[in-house]
Amino acid sequence: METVQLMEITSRECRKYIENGGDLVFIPIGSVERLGPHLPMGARTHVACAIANEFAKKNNGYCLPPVSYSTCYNTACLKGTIDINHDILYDLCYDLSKELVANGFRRIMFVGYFKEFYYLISEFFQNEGIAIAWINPDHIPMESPSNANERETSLVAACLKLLGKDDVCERLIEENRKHLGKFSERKSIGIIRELKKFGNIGLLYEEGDYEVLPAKNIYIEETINDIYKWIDEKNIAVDSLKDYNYYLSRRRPDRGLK
Amino acid sequence: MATYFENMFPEDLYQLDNSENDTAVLPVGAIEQHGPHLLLGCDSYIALGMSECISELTGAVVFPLVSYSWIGGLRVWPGTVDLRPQKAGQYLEEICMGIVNMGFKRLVILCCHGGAREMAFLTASRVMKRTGIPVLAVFPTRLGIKEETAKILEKYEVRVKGKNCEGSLMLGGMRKIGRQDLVDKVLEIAKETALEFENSSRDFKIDSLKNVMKISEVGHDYIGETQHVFPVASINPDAGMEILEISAEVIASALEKMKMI
Repeated sequence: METVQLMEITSRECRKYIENGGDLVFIPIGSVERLGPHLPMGARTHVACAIANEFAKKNNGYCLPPVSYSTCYNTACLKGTIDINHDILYDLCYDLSKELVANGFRRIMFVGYFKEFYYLISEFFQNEGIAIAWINPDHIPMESPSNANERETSLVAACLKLLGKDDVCERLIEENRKHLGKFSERKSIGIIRELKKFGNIGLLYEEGDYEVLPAKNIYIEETINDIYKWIDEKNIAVDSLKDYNYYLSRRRPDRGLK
Repeated sequence: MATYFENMFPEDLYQLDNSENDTAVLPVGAIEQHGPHLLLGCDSYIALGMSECISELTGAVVFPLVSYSWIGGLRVWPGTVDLRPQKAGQYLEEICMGIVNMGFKRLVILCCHGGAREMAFLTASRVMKRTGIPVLAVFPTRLGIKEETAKILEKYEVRVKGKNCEGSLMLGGMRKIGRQDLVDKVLEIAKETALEFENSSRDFKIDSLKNVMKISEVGHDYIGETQHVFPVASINPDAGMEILEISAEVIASALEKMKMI
């Protein structure tokens, strides 16, 4: 495959891929969001795209163009964030899944932070009988970062590198250096973070607050290696989605009423 | 150089507040079959290329592409991704509201996908109703540059056959955003498929459908592979670039006029 981007192939090439047994597609779900003073507005789109691309390359799959606008919670009130109503995004992702099934894709994997996927993949399974999956970049184990700010910043920087956006990555490093130590967390946010450990509590940042603060250390190469290692480990899950959907296609759920 | 919102940092937003630049461009494309030769992302490449031209001319900020929309009749062809129109419309409206609420005073929805045209037009009215801020929804064929386009196509010896302008525009868009690799790929496929369909009929509509269409838009599918875009070997990226640039100039002058509203 010359490219893993569905946008870059013709309809005929898509049909050929499916006819030759291809069935794998990744859908990056990003956001336009003000996450940190040192992070670009499309940070999460860049992360979702990079992870989806790498998965697609390793598994002979295709990547859809990103859904670049999505639901934002904590950052919804900050200037620069574009928040999409969760019901609209949910329906859109459901429609996308149905369309991909109609096109012959059977292994459909969303990559992103949209928490509603938890229910979407279940509803889709219950209605359509097809298992779709969700890869959350929060689950990538990273060895070097010592705190959440280092983790998030390193992940965005590494993903920009993977996408070949070196100029944006350099700007990130520069902005990080410029803003390091200039921001601190409000006391009430600290309390909310404490309470979040029990489950969840709503949080809305105000002007001057940030989800991610500049990091003392940014681990780009280490994070790229972590991503590659994680993807290698997870390839079995990508493979198994095929077997699982085959199993589903043969079973007959009947609520015990046979 | 074009300005892309996804690559902007929070500090850039403060600078934007203090500048006179209050214009945003939202490109809208699709994932849709475009004949046997053009890429599934055809409309998106046109939208991206044209947005970049507008940004260079006016300093407008280009927002991330909206890649999905309602498709309609082409949903039956491989690779096409079709959304329910109401949902796609709501999604577009939410994005526009987000941009307007950010403080942009002028917004252009640059809709280069036919299926989303009416949706984009409606969105402009809906956002106005909700915010009182004018939004300009643009569809390239409505820009009033038919004669200039014809001259450019003639200059580059692009054989005018159906919608081959779309092919050249797509090539122009891809070149504009630095994807010469894709230009080369499409030119090669266009050459092959133009030969393959050289003697094919281009009439795909069934009589009953034609008759109903005399009075109304009506649900229909595209039944032939070349019904949407017929392959023509002479599609040309330079012609596409020129048309994109003229289109961008027209939109730039429309943006100037918007200041007077």
